[in-house]
Amino acid sequence: MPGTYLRVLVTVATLGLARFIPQVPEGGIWRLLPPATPQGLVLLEQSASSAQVGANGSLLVSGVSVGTAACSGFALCATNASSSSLGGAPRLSTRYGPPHTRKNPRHNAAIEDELAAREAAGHTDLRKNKPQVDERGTRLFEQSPTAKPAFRRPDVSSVRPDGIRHNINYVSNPKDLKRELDAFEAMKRADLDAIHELYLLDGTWMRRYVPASVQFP
Amino acid sequence: MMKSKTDSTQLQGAFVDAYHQGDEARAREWVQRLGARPQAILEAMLENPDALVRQAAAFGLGELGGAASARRLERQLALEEARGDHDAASVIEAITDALGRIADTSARAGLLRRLERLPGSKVAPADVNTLARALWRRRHPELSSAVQRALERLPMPTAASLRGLAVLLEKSPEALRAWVEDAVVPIEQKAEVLTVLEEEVPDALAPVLPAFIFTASAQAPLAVDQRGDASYYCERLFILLSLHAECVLLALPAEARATLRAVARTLVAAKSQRCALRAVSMLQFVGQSEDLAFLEAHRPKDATLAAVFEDVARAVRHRGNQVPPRGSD
Repeated sequence: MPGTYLRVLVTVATLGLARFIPQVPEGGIWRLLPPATPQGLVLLEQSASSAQVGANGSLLVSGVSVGTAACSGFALCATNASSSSLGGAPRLSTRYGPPHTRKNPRHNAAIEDELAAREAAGHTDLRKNKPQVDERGTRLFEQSPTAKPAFRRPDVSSVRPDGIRHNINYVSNPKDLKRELDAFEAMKRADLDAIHELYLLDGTWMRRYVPASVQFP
Repeated sequence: MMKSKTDSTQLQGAFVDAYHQGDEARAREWVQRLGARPQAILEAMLENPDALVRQAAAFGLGELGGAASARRLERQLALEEARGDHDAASVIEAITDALGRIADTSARAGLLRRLERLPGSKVAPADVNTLARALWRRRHPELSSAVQRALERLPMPTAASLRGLAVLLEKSPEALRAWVEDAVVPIEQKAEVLTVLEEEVPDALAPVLPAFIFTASAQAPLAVDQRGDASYYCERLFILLSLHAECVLLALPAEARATLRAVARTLVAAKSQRCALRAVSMLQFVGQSEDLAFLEAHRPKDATLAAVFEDVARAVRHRGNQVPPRGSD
């Protein structure tokens, strides 16, 4: 994989690269998306040297410059580019309030941009670092009453237009990965009817749970 | 001096981390270690620009309790309401929860003012649920009229938890039992009551729980096939009984306990996977050795979920070696 690459998650049900999903806002890192066209598409300004579709629906486009993307406004884009804006002075988005944490502005940026994208996509009950709830907004607890912690706080949580709750956590620090994986499994046990995802801050997808019979993305 | 400041910062950081991870027991321990003047430290933390720090501070003041904490939290509530952003919303939720844990009349007054200020068009069901739970912990006859006024103002289903709270506030235990047994009352409204009652089950309402269990039995055939109000009701009943297992399950009459076991066995195959896993967990408390083969037959391939089945089977085996609890036959 070249040093600079762009990963675009799209649905690959029927299609070629032009068949992106405009309505379904799905998880991940949204922060690098350039503005979308009214049709929900963002055009590549530079050519991609190769594209591969992964088994999980990831479209891996290599050989592009960061800041130019080829995905719909509702696709999931992430970048590992060394020249990313994240590599320099990260911005502190305050659209949804003060930064999530002053110690980790990238974490806050990931949360803020995800919330912004979801809001634009018609998600409701947008929640940032609040206790886990179900699609009706009722508190959820660990499946075992003796478990500690008794509940979790997803970084991002919202309800899709089809009524499915969608939670995301980001791993701020790789040394916390074990803890974050535990949290992911706990969130999943608490709500098997919701979608749960876990990402590294560089956009690397770590875990995803999608309930049976729920369409994803 | 420098070292002392570093220690204090680290202490606060550990407290905030524990709170953020949902580990309230550990966060509680950190509150006890905040120093000689924890109130002043927590009040200073409420002024931090980081919403997570403010949330943790609200939790800490709720732990300290007392009129001073309640007053400071109410003042912060007004500040966060004025901010009106998503981070403020997360702090408001923490303050609401904290006020519900303070056994002082000023805390109830603060919650009442929050209820009266709930913005009808913007409020989320989760915010209403948090407030309804806090009000239930601070229950008092004077709450009824305020809850009714809010119900007239707020839309459904946003205000569903408040409707559940209203039922609990207005009905005597006998009237509540009759209401639960009344087949004409929509099952979704009975579920609304459960989402509030699970916060706290007063001794006076423990005898009503069998009525909820028999209602679940009537709903089970529908709940197993559909994700909807029936499965939601059963799921919330399982959650309530699990959260208060030690207080309520051992005291259940034999018939209610047997019915609960039958409902749980039925719903292990529920279409709602969330309901199904709660049903499996319920067997941890009411399952019998005859259920072990049943659990094994339904054990999923997913490692996380399979581990739940194994834990439940272990608990059933362990209980099989103990003296049978009252109510089991």
